[in-house]
Amino acid sequence: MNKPFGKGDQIPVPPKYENIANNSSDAELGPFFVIGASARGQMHIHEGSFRDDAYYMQSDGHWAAIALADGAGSCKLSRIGASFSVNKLCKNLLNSVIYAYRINRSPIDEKYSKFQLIDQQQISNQILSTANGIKTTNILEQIINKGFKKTHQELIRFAAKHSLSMEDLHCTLLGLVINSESKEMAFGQVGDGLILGRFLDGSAIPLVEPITPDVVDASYFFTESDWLNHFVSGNISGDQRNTINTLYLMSDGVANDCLYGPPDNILQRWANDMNREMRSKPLSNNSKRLEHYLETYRIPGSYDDRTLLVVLSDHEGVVN
Amino acid sequence: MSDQTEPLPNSITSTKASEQVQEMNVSVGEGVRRLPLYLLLDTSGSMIGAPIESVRRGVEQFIQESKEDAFTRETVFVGIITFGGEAKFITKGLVHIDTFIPPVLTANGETPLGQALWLLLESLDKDIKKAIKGEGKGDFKPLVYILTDGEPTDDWQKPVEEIRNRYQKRFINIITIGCGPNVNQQKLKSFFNGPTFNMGSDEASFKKFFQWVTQSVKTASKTVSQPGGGNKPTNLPPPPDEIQYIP
Repeated sequence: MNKPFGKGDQIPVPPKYENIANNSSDAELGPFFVIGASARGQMHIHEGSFRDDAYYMQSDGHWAAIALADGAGSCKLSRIGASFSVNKLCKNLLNSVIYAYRINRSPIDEKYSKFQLIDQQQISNQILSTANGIKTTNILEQIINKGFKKTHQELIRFAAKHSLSMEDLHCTLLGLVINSESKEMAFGQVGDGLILGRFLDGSAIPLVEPITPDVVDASYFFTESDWLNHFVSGNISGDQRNTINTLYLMSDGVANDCLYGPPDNILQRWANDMNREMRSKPLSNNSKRLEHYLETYRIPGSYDDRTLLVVLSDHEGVVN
Repeated sequence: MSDQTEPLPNSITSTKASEQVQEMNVSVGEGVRRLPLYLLLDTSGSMIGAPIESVRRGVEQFIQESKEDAFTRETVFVGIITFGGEAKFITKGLVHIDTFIPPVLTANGETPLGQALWLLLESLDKDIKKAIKGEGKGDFKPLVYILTDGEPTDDWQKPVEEIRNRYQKRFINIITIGCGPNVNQQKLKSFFNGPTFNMGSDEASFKKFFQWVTQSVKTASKTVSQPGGGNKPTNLPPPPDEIQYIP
């Protein structure tokens, strides 16, 4: 039986907004090992100011939700928006999947999904009636859409309660929900950053293409009123489930250093190097290693906060 | 493909903070994100004497102080265009601030600001790199300073309109400074509708101006890399008293 967990950046308790420079966590869920780390960027270190990135990972023992948010550096309380969003998104995603799915352990089929929708059509109708802009029939992706929407509404209430403007809380948001047995997953993103899949054949492919403005270095934010226009989502189901062995969610501070070369195949090199490093034993050391790495690797012009979440599949197996 | 990929020979490795933290060897993109900085400097005949000498010393001072800032030294590439008699791109493109040698400046002739802006536009199209995934990181949003002591004397309308368009589309940041008593402040302001300032033409004013440019560039080299940094005009540090904002 997998233990439930909830780890990462907590929602700061007003009025005392604590700054935590770096953070890292790890957790095991069935065949998955989840590693998260977030480090303050060189610019913030130089200025003595706060880390604006946040991440959270949560599980009920069967499902895992992970989320990452990148606060806008020009917005004074963006780290609060980021911390709030990742916590609430994880909670909302887990609540939705637990509601939508029920455990139905079959003694015949132990290999794959032990979960069965009680009434797929009913659940689908309920979700479709409450979430806007859904263009997918995949239930898990609909749950992602609904989770983002609910989190946005909660953020608005949070801002109003504490007399904050949404602009002060500007942040991006990336989220993923995954089942530990069937390995089905869905993900969503508003703003920059990257959700990347590393496949068994060693290829590395972004799982969604974020919508970005034409302006250099600009990003859309989850906190904007028209965020739905810039929201992208996707899912992995069917045969594809067993072809991805590592997932990465990362903020722009990391994505910019692995998306752009030279060399031309830098994304694939990065994904394979990181996969190798994160699978080195003992796994429980790797969150601190990752945190240290994010804090210290230097590239001229790369001064942003860096946050990376790694989901290793089949972590007990031999590295492919 | 095997998972045992050899990291690139010059891949970045983390330094050890303690014996307990094992290093990681992960390939990262080798490209550097540049902050392009353009200085368009009026070297027309009215700048003869103390003003042009002050500009020359100011450029030297700016380069020296920028080299002393780690962030600026890593990212800033400079392009200098003078306009006096004719417009000249004296750096012939963008050069790294570490290798930049301050030029000898002489003042003569009329004020061909239009020509200077055409040279700027050509460089923006040719020298500024856009981000291409799998290839190179793009440059940060260019920062442009225009310093002039009078009115342009050539055909300036069309290049001004083109620069204004790019500013309004947030492709560049542009700051305009008029120096001395002959500046038509409202006309200068109307060129780009961006931050516009006025200052004296004495040595102290030029010194303060270049100190402010240095501080602004240091700030820009950090803030443009932030998410959303491209959404708003780059936040400048407040100018010194000698430099007045034109509303």
